[in-house]
Amino acid sequence: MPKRVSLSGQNLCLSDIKDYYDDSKSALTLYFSLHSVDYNDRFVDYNINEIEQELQARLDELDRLTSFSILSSLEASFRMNYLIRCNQKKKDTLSRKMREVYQVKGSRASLEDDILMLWKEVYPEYKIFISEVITAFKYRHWLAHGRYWEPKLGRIYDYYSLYDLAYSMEHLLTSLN
Amino acid sequence: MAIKQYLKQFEEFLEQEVKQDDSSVIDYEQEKKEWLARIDEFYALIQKFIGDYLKQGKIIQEWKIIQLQEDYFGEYEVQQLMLKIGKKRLIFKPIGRFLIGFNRGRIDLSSDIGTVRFVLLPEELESPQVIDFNNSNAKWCWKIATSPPKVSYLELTEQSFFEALIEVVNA
Repeated sequence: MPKRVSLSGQNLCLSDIKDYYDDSKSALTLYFSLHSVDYNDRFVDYNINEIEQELQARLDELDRLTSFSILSSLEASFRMNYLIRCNQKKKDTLSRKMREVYQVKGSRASLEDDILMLWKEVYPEYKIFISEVITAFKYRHWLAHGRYWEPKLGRIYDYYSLYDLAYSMEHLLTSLN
Repeated sequence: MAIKQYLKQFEEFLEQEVKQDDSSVIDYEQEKKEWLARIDEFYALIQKFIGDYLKQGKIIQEWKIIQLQEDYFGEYEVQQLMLKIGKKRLIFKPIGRFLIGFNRGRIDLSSDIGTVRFVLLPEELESPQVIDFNNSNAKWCWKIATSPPKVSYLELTEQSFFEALIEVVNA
């Protein structure tokens, strides 16, 4: 029997990530504005375009880091759902199929190849959305591994669009529990 | 003569790849034309809403051509609209046609204070949901997406537009 995973309770929920994003964005915008107490020292010899460009670069980076956080949170949701289905011995088809995987791979089941594949198999009506999630994890893979290659993902990813995707997926997970 | 096993395998592989290659069934040039037409339609709507203020000189507009880059379209040009209201500057910027999720494109309105998203969505969709509208007869239109945490998609009307405008100039 695979060893049970102790859940840390430290996983971020979407509203935590949203608060972090909003506060960081407000703080950056304030820091790059005339209202900042450091403005004159920090931006000496800058022209207005340079300040705007630097702010935009910081906001773009914040967007990517927050996108990474959203996708990590979504992975945690799928993995916790998998562990709960396996440990609580639920009788539905998805839970039974997950337990078969669990017997072999335990908590080390692959998110994309095992867990999400089972979702697609058992709920073909959501196949297109699970595929979107799998592609989004390719984007996270790109972020996590240093972004040194040109990704060909076919989609534009940003905080807002990933938030909407994660939000609807969380609802789906909850409704099918 | 029976087909060789390795050729049979290769032909199966070819068949599968052709099936999976979206580009063989989607006309991206046509998609791009439709997306650009949707952007024009959006700006026409905005002009209708703010037309009187433009005539009175209370709002000044500036157009700028910007480059977007998307995997299926390559590099292409779109119009960005900047509105000057007193000292405040508001920018409408098309973000792209192929965003992750359930939409067919997005234009953001940003200021120093915040961002409002205009998203091309099925008319009946009121919040992010896992419903596939691609093969339905849904009518696609521009909607306003409210900010997280509780995202709703509102009909784009004169009222919802001006409420969004106030949100980004005077939050």
